Amino acid sequence: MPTTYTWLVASGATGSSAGSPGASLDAYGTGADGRTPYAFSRQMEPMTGDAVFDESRRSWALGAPLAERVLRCLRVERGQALRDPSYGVDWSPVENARTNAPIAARQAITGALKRFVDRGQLTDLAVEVSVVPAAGAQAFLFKVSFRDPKGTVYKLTGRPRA
Amino acid sequence: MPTVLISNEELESEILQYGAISLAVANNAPAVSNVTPTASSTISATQAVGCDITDADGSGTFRRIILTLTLSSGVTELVHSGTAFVYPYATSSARTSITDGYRYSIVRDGGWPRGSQITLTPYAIDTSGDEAA
Repeated sequence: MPTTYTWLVASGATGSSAGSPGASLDAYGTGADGRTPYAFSRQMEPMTGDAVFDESRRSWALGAPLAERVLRCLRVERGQALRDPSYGVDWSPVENARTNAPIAARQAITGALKRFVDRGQLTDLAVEVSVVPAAGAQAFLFKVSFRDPKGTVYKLTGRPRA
Repeated sequence: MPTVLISNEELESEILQYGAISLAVANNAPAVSNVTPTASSTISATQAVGCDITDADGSGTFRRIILTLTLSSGVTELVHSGTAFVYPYATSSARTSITDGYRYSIVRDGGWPRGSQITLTPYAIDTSGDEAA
């Protein structure tokens, strides 16, 4: 049996979604050129859900479907989606002033994305929540990374809305 | 018809006079060396990977050298068919002749998938059927 030789490819940091201060997206696909996602959907503004227009293409901006679904789930507060009251993030247990607030925030995000994990639509889910200074006070910054069934890695960063 | 007896000595000298068929048997297996960058290291998305594949019996004793590359997704791509590099490695990859073999420099069109693991497997076989370990 021949010997195999393995290398790890650095993740780097390129690309962004709609440019909203609420979230950014790094998506690396297994498409034909090894960089772009193998499938596309309309890119939605992470904070408002509005479709983003790409002036350079004179058409809708391209987004990765699974990343767009995860972003949509993260921007919906649980109970607000009439079609499914269990959809979205339950931020109620998160109290910014409490010392365990980052842990509660991580649990809230993990709980919201559990539906995707249970259905096998994403794997290797990792959620990190950190506290960053903002506007003279402090705010949460969360980082979510996951892998889709084809091995594409997605990384999202964002902040909960006030 | 008279019978002609040929002694063993005469028969052997006759064979030596005309020469025996000479066979060169390749008894060294191909070897992979000079793996770059060092295996298990971290590389950038545009960094080339490569290796040297040689056979001490000479590069002419290779039957076939095939290179494959496996991505994190589990997909295995053919890098070199033994004749040429194939898509998506044909654009910027190169094979150069070195003493007793070849040096491969492998670059994937569009770069390696970031945040992934890639595994190169060389299959080098010589005319004696010996395979690189």
